[in-house]
Amino acid sequence: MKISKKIELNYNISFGKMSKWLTGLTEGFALALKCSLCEKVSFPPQKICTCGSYKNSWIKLSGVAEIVTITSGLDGNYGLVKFEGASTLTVVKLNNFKGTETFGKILKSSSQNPSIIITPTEVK
Amino acid sequence: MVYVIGCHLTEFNRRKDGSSYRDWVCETFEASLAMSSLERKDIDTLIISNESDFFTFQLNPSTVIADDLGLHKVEIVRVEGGGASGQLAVHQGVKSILSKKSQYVAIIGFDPSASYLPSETVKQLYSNSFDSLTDGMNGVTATALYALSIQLFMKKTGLNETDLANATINNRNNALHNPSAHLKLKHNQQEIFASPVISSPYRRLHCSPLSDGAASLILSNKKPLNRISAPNIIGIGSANDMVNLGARDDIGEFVSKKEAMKKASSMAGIRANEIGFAEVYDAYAGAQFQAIKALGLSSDFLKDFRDGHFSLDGKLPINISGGLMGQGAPVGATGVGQTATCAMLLEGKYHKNLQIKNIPKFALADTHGGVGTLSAVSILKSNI
Ligand SMILES: [Zn+2]
Repeated sequence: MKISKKIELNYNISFGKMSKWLTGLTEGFALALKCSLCEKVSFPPQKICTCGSYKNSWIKLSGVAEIVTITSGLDGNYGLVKFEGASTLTVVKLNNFKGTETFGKILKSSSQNPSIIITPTEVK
Repeated sequence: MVYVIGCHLTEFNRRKDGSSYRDWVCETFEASLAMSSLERKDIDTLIISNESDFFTFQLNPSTVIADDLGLHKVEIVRVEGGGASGQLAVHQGVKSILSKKSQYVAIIGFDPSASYLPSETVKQLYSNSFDSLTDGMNGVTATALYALSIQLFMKKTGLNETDLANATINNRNNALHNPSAHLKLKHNQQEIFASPVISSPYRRLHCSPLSDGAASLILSNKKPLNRISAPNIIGIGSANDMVNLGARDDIGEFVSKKEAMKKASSMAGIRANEIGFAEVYDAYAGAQFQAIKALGLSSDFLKDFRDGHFSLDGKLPINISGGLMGQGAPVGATGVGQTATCAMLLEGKYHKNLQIKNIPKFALADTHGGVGTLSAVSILKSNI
């Protein structure tokens, strides 16, 4: 015997400290956290720096990123990129990737799905 | 000391027989119990591992499972750590024995990863098994994240697509001799190179399947008098790395695994190069290489692989069960099953065509969740 059971989950999610960052993505800019102690800049933001400090402040990056490596196929185009001014790398979705681009600029994402998406470009 | 006195894996596959994970859990527990020569009432602790209630449609599954197994007034705990859940459950069992709080521990891992939900839904849920705020929101799949990691590893080590194809062929070849395996397939290189690219360099055939199944262990604090060959678990270790790939010190390396292995080998009092057999977490063809390197099982993993040292008749057989790629991956059962495989092999009780003739002294079961995010390893010792 088998039955088909469908449930719908309508989450109403709050994001606390990360709200600012997610709002930034929906407005098309990249907000990062800069450690007040060692000055490391994390994007996506890390609440506690790898140096152990929890003191940090929000900074706005230019939104321009250099592509380090990409993967493409049936699961879509994704890359590891280095945003200008960030100390960490970032996993991003690539919008309309042709295969030759080496840079990208952050793209405004939907207000209901704030995500890190870049539009790849040939030049910085 | 911790003895493995019972161990068993059900078939790993996509069930089409109308059976439920609750049947598989009973099947594997009864088999382990029979092997242990214990009675049901002897079990004082039950440890359950399954990855997600999304898969089972059952919140708080451990208590209903205890009822199904006829276990009452026992200590029960459920362990979850993504793909590492099963191995972390083994660790919990070992700790229960070593703390002297438990005498006889039953560990059961399971997941209906294949047949309960459509694979597209499972894929979507898995995006949320990384950071749901970042990876979850942009919909990146497990395959894409593993692909980004292996690309950096390939650049650094010289591992190439032919190696990925050969690892796939080897593991699925081993699975041909494992009656419980999900993908018993004889591949050739052309077939692999022709399979669709999911996330470059990973093609469909490089991926482990989502499987249904269960596995179990029964641990004891005493050597059973009627079975002096029951192996020991002598070392356990686990460690994490950042979830966000981009924040890691080394994106291509499984740093957490190296750390977990350091802890386990220190507890066991042995060196990694004394391991004579290993089941490693090959969620993708390349992850096996990342694991072997991080675990320190070889000083030149690429040469050793190309020279055939990790094959069934090699000096360090790896994933002779077929691994996740061949045997399959019912997530919560995986780590339990890997440890059970090591235990059977160390006692000379593994599948006829896969049993290593010269039984090694030490075996390693290696599991992780995420892209090497949370690693958990166990070292077993033979008593033959
Ligand atoms: Zn810092």
